[in-house]
Amino acid sequence: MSRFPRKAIPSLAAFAVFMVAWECLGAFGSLQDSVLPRPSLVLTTLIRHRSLLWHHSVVTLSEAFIGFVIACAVAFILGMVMDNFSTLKNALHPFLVVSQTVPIITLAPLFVIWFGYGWMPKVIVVVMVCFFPVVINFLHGMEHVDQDMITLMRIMKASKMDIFWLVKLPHSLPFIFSGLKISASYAIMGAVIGEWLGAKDGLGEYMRRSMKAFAVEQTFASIVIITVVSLVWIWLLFKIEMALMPWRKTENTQEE
Amino acid sequence: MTISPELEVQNVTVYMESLFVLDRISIYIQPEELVTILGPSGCGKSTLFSVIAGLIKPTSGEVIMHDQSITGTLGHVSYMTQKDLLLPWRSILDNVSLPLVLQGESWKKSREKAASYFSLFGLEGFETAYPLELSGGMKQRAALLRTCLFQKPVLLLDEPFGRLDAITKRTMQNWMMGIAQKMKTTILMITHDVEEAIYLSDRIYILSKLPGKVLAELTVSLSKPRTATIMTSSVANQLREKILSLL
Repeated sequence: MSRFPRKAIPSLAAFAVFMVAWECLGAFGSLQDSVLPRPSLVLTTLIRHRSLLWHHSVVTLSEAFIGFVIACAVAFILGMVMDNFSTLKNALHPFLVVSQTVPIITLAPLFVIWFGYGWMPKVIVVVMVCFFPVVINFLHGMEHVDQDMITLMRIMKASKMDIFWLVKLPHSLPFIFSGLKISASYAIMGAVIGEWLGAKDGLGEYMRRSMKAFAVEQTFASIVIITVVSLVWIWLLFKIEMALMPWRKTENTQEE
Repeated sequence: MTISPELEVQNVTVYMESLFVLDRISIYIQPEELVTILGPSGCGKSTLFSVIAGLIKPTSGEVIMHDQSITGTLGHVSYMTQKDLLLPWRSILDNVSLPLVLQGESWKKSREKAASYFSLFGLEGFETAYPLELSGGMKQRAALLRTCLFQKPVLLLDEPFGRLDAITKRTMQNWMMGIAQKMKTTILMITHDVEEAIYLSDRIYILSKLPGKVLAELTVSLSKPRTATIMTSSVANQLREKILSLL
């Protein structure tokens, strides 16, 4: 616990004050529970509906996670190939960027038409929103490798593969992880929105039902879960990033 | 000279696009010799090294090593620049083992071999450290060890101490002369520091401004090992004056 960051104390205190104030306002009747339910009410809903919420969360998380993993794999392979063949990169890069001007969410109804109410359309939405930040950051990272370093590797007779594994990939890791962290938050959002449009279960479907029943506290409960899961997801990525890049730890301690 | 040169550059001329960079450069280097190429900044010194390393094919002329043309082919010489170019994500031991690994040796054997040179290069105890944890002088020593472990007969050093402070620079120069003698290396070095050239070299080639061509070839007849006092001797003074009048 000695490593507990002191810098976190003010923001944690602010959060606590905010929650208590909200609770008090609700308790004294300034806020109606049917409009903005008190934190305690949301908490009891979370506990009361725990098995149902668990079931829906597992569904949504699986879709998000599977989509995220597929997106990472596609981004990695595409990034590697595009970096190796500059013609292909020049050919595909504009399409990649332009494809992002199409709001992916608006395509979701199409996927429902094509693939039905199962997990498939949700996973496709997740893949489509997640892969772009990763591949663009990956390519960006590889473009910014010190060219002198590559020249030296060539003088030492390194193959293209050697250069990729020893220089380009490690250099791109911080870039890849920035992309992954953006994608992680997109992933759950993509899955939930996919579910809104039609699903048998999942947090999005639960939210839709809550909305129809005007059960505001249930909607809030889903929001809490989604937020917490996103936080944990990003925290995990951060931990993996630290473990994969031990040399950056020394970088940080030197700065202090 | 009776011994055949280790490396020879014959009449190398380089045009880059419309820029005339090198004008019929001819130089040679004997085994175990330390030769410097001295010239003003931007006189095409680094281009000459790129030609020798095989990164650039000259417009005309040849690079000969052991009676064979190596013009435009990579991997015949070791090369070190003023940037240490150590991979930040690899330990010092891995960094210096790299040339052995790239020549097909296993990581384990390469690390063993590289580790045996750590005390000679003043790096012992820093095997597992990352480059960022080392001082500037140590990084350059690690870079030099990596260059040596590429195990090519000629080392090309492109302003190896250019980025170091004056005090570290002198320590490194003394240390490098010791290493060169112990390891019996042949070194071709670029510098724009007159003092460094006199202090280290057996011979000096003076290059002109663009297009670079050899203005003079000077033999440094100071005895080795050299010390700081030798730099104020009459031989050194004459040499210094001659160089400054040429540049």
